[in-house]
Amino acid sequence: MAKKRHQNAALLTLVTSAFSLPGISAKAEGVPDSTSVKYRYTSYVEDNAPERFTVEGDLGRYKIQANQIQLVQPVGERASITFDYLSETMSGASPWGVKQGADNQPELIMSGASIKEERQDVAVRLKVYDKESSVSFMGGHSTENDYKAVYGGLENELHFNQKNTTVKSGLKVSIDRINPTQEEGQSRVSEEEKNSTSYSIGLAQVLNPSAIVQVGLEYAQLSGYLTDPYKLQDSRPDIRKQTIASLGYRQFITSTDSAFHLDYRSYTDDWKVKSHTINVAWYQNFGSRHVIVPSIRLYSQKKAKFYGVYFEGGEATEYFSSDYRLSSYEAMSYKLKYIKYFDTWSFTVAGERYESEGSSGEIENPALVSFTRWTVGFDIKFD
Amino acid sequence: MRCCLKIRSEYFFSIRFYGGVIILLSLSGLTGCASVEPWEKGMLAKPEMGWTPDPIEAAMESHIFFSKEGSSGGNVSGGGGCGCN
Repeated sequence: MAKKRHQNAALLTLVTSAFSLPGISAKAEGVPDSTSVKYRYTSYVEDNAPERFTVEGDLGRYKIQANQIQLVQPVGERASITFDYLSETMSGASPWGVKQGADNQPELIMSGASIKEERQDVAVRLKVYDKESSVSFMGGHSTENDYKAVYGGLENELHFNQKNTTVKSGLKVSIDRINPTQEEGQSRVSEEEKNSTSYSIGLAQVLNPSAIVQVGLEYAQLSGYLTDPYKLQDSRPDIRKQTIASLGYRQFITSTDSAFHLDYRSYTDDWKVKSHTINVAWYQNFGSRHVIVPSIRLYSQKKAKFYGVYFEGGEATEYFSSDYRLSSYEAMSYKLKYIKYFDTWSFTVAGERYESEGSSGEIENPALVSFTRWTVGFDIKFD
Repeated sequence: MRCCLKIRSEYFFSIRFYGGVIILLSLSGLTGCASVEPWEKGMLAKPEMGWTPDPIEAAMESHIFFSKEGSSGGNVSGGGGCGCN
């Protein structure tokens, strides 16, 4: 696979060149040349809730173990089909809310450690390629004991200017049904629906033989029951309008045989949540068989207009939440990934550490999460 | 680690600065983008130059951030799921 990786790049260049010559027909560019299978196992472990702030419930937070399988199969000369399957088990305690203690000290209320859930997600994508365009149709279904989602989408790519310019557009729809499991002493909805639709448009431009840039804009609208049924005194508007702008940049550096990745996302919505995300990665090749990828992600968020750190008194206002995810905070994550290429397959291992803390000038929500993630897996190509 | 995070967090406020740098980089590139011939695209075709070189892992990351942060979108779809807890 290691030699093939470089051969494939050269082959792709030749095929691309062939397409530029009139009268030559071959497999459409982009169609995978063989069947491939990918597998990933992920272990996700959240740090314990802080003991000095936790007054109720269990300290041990969420642990997730996930298995993912992806099968990519070429279909004829102009199409490919991709199947994705995910199975994950989740267990541990979850933050319910924060109340005001003595001297304004936040006191965290956690659930018991009895939460145990499973989720399965199945998705299929058909991508049809043409000489100067491609179109993808996708659909999927996610089920867990208290939540079901059916989703689908359509994506289109149009190439111009000898494929140096690509215009992308997409539409995604999801219809979700929530059936919260009732805990003793809690009063929750029995069944609600949530719908979401998003529209996206993007432009990718080759800058030179070693650099490419991409800009994107997405608008999403969520409607229905957007309250978190597992939080105390949580009440959110039944509509949320999100706008996301993104920029991406890729640069290959020949002298060091490496690739530089830079991604930026700006997010804003009508709940007044704003965020900035930057992701930087460095793909360092060592010969044709080893790749090491260090990366760093920075995240900064401003709180929702109805967020308050203490849930008490929330019933006095129409909308209120003390969910830490709607607070003002910053997060940083570091990831290191290693890929080893063999002749027909490759092995991948990645470790990530994520830490978050409240923005300065705000009372930090003690439920803010930090976690460690490990992923191992392999990719196999069948000729 | 948390105290270090506090010190480093000051850099978050320069994210807009970095965003501006990327925009300028993009614009300067776009204005000067000569047409690259198909046979010159060997480096761009390398797997590590893809927008999402590992889509299966990217889907997992996307789902985690969707579940644990207050904003999402603009990248690989992370599939369905509540993300409530």
